[in-house]
Amino acid sequence: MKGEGAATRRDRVVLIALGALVLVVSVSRLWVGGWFGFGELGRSVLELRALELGMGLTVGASLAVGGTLLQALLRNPLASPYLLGVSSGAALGMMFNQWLLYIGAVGSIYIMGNQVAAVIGAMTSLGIVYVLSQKRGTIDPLGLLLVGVIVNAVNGAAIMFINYLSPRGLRGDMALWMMGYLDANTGWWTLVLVMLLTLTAICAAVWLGGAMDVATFSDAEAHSMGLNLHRLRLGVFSLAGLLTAGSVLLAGPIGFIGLICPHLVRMLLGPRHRLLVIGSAMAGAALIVGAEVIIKLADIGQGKMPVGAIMAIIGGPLFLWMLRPQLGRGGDA
Amino acid sequence: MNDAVMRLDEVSFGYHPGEPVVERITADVPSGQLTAVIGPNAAGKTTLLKLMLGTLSPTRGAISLNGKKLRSVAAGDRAAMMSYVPQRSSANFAFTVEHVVAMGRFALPWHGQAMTDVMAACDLEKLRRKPFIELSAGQQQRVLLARAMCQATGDGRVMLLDEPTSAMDLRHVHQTMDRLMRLRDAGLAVVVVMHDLNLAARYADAVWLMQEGRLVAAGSWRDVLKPAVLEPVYGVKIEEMQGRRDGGTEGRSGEPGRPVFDARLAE
Repeated sequence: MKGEGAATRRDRVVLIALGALVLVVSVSRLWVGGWFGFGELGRSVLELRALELGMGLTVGASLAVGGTLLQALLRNPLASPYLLGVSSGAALGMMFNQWLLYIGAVGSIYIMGNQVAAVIGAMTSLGIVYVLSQKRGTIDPLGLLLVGVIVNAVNGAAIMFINYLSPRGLRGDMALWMMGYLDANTGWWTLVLVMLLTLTAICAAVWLGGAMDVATFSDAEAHSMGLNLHRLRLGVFSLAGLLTAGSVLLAGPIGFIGLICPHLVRMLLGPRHRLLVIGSAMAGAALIVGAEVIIKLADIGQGKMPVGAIMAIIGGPLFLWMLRPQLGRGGDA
Repeated sequence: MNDAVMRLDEVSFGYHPGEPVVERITADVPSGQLTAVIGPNAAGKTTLLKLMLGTLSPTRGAISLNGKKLRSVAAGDRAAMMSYVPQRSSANFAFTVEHVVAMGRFALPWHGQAMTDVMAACDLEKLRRKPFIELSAGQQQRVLLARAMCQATGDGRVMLLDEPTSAMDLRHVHQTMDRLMRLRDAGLAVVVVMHDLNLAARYADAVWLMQEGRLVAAGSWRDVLKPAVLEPVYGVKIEEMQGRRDGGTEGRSGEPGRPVFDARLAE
């Protein structure tokens, strides 16, 4: 494993290219909109752009790595936090918390804040999907997607219900946030917290890369090779839930990043998870920040179009393209 | 030579209460012996293998590996002692052949020489950079055997195989069985679930015959591979084409008198 898992020259070139891409889109994001100038105003503009850049990088990386982890553990390249209802679960947790705040209720979740509410929502949805999609202890790939779709729909309905109960002002903010919007009002403290969490989770995921490779085979094979699947599942599901909750906290639910990035990077680097996690994190970061640059440059929606909407426009057709081999296979998928 | 490395003591298992799939099996798995597990469909052969592997836990009875309860053996120690070859793999991602084989050392210290040796022994050198999921079923079976052999290098004591040659051509079937015999000669306890009675007759030292979850006969090939024992279990007429009386064929170990069977539906 150790001998065959090392990066080849080609792998290193791909990783360097992805790193360069992240750098280019990051500089572009700081630059777009023109020179910010010197002095107080210039510093404020730079700070705002840096905050949005940091959010974009963090959200993109966390969603892409969350998708990579779920795909490995569920042995399904179509798994992603968005499709499995994990993102909507986190969103539901946060909206419920906001609603508690609005009605003046002081519950335990409210006291702990949006962060904990998002984590509880994400983990609950993930747990439900995981338990319901098992058949005799093994995960049924199509069943998994169907359960994910249903959990997503139930979360969506609950979000609409809370939305209906909320006052008009709050409802407008919630609707924008639900589209996947990098909100500069989030603040540095939350960004730093989520960024640290994301970096820690990525390091842990890289460390677990070899184990995740083994876990993509059947339970019996993984067990025979000396993997403690139960412990790995617990750890990796927790990481995926935390990453998704963190991204939702910063930007609301954004779809398709967790699905598309691991898929594209797998085509470039192969399926080894040590490299895949690093590559996906960079691809996710570049994709979100790149989309933000396009929104600002093209002045779509006066440069304020939610990045989640753009991702859905790109991601929907791409998902259908990826789903093609699975269609028509019925129960064999 | 023939110490029991694995012991099954009154082992029972069922997926649903009151519906046993494996029932009260007691047997020893000795070192340096190839044991063929045979029986009709749904006899419980694969379930028995999974119990021996530890992925399923007996509902009654106990299994020990190297004198210790199987459940209490640490995952790394178990991987060092026991390897497994499934009938087919459920890979979903395009790992290369060499990476799949290298996974055999996941929980063990890296052993570059073992990797080189098994790639050559299993005829996989030309396929090393190919994605595993793009190989034919027979080629995949060779890769899975190579992975188990890579894992077994060093402290390997038991290798469990579930119909490892079911998708292979004739040459690779016999090459694979020959490799298993070499592992047996090196002291490994090799347990192979198989359907081909002639293959069992040619290669097995011991045979376990299963029917409806029970071990109905167990012993040397001489005692079990007889039409009188096999016919009631399989429900077909079985004839020895070349039998003990006329010398039979020579087994891989050089013993003469190994039978060759033909079967037809009973009238």
